[in-house]
Amino acid sequence: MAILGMAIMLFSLVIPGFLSVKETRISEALPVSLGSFSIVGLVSLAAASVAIFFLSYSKYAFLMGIVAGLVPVFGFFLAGSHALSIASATGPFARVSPYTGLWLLLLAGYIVVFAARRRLKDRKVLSAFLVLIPVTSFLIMLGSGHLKELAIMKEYANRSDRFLEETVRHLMIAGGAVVSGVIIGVPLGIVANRSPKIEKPVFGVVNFIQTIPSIALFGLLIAPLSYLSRSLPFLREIGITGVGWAPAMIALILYSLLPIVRNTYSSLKVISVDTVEAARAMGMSRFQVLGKVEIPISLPVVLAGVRTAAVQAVGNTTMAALIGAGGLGVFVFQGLGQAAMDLVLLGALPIVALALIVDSLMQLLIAILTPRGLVSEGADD
Amino acid sequence: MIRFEKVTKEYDEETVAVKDITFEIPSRELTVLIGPSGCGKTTTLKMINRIIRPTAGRILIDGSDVTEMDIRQLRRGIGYVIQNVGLFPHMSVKDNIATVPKLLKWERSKIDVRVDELLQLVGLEPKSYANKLPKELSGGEAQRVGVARALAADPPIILMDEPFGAVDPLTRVRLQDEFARIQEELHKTIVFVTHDIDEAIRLADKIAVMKGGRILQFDTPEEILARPVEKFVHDFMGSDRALKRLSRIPVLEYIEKSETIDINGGWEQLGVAKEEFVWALDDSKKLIGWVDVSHSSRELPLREALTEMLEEEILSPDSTVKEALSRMLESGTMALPVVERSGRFLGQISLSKIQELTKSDREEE
Repeated sequence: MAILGMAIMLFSLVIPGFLSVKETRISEALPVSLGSFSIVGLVSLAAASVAIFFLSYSKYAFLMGIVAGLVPVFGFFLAGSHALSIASATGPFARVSPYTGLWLLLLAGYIVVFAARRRLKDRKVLSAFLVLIPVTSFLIMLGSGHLKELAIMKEYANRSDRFLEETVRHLMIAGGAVVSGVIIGVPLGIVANRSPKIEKPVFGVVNFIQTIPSIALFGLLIAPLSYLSRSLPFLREIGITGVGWAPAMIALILYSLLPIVRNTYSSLKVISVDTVEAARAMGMSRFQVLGKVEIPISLPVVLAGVRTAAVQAVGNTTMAALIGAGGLGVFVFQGLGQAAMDLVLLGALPIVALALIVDSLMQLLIAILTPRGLVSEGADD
Repeated sequence: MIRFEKVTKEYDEETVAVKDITFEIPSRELTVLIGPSGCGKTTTLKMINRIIRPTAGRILIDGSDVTEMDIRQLRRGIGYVIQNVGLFPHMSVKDNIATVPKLLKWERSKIDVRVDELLQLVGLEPKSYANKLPKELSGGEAQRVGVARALAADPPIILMDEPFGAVDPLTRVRLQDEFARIQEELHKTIVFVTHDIDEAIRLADKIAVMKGGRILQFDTPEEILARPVEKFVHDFMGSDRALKRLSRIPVLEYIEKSETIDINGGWEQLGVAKEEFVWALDDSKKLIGWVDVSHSSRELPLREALTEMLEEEILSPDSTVKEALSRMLESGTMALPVVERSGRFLGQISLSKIQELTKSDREEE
């Protein structure tokens, strides 16, 4: 798989469109190849591909992953440099955007990092760093202003206050939904495990919810919520209406239930009756059994469910912009409306980045909290 | 001593697991509770450490009622081994074994010493096993760790619920032998639940045969095999119960004196031979073979009439009568010599003696 990534990487370096240049925000895009503006960049990225090729046959999977993760970051660095030079030559209206080549480079880097993480299966902490290091270095570059002449950053410059506000809102909605999902889902999972009578309906409902497309679920909630809000004034006062954050939050909580309930349920199934009986028979109190046996064994699996729910919530919150809940989806849908792809990217890229960061942080947390004896059961990719 | 006094366990009016049982489990011996599934043997076991509460009656350990003791104190003084071991999957072998000592707040150094000692006792090398995880152990190894964990705080009583039920037959026999050795060393009061009659006969000092929540017979394995009180016990012991009984009897008890001859002397040592052969010994009374004493062979020098013995035709004093019988059938002989580990000849056991033994049983029935 690392070889596939390397092949895509080399291909992305030679195709005609690495970046695109437009005279104005909405004029036609002209592709530019990497070789035409940076021979040094071309040579060093090609060298990195060759290095990945050789590393993929060695035992240094972590090193391979780091190189691969930094390749797209370097690609963006080159794009930023080129944008700076064009801006100083032709003035502020020209737009430089990533094009097929740079996207392929990103894809290639992702594939190799993914391959490296698979090989680091049991080393969860290293594996999390494979994502966190490139993402952090990218953020540092972003903060340094090196990318400020890229089209997407120009869109950002026009909306920097709004961007921050929507990012925070995005995280609040997704985070709030997951936390509520845990508060509701964990007890549901426990109850489902204790009583077979409740198990069937609980899973029936949460499985069914998962099959409803998110946009439809948001829509379905509008009617009952606006009815409730009209008939119960106090709901209106605390901000619950048919549109906005309330239906978004409810829908996202419902989505987060399946992974959380399912994992809580199966984490308790993993604990055999014998283990608990042995613990009791050795003279542990009810409390000690919970703290020394049940929680340590089940926690990693529950957290794996929370991880899935969190990543999913970050993605699904995008749709919430459609019913006026805000979040980074706002830029995506504005951009779609204006046929301004750079604006779409201003929404979409941070969403992807947030999802990756949340995923890695959860993975790290799980790795730290998983007892050595349970490494293969919890936290699986 | 664990005493059951009119103990009954009812789950509801229709399901009565244990019906009014009264018996005494002797200290420092291994008592087996055996019977078909649903006979109440596991319930009986689990009432001792109050995993299950009796509906009526009392259970006394050395005179004090278990229901009046502090439950944690009670349980920490009773080792517990179950069929699926129930090792804690998130803890190393060492931490598993140290569970009760930690609950009792032993010092760390004392726990370390104890864990090493126990691993050695159950035949696992402490260096390589202490830090292993349960998932890295084979079924047999896990079960040994389970036994070590039960013994950790040196409890006087150990309860075992089909402890060797989930391992393959070969490993099971090996574990049973090792366990018998450990018990010979430690002399714990052990209550052992099984449905495997061979296991019961191999390990038990006393057997309680249970059916439908009652104890049908409670006695030594020899007695139960020789004199089953009712048809169910008789059938449960199996059609080869005579053979099973022989497996409990060491040959030592049935050794007969028999004629021997010093291989370095001559034929004149023998008077009129009663048998067709005699055992041949050397100067230091070690067995070297047997000599045909018929007239035709007496014409040869003594050394040339000697037939040496194969190793498998020689019994040791702790062989069982069943083994002796089996070897006789294999080798087609009527008697086999019994020899100490040092090689000293003790005597012989003969087919006719075994027949006498089983005949007396038949007459009693």
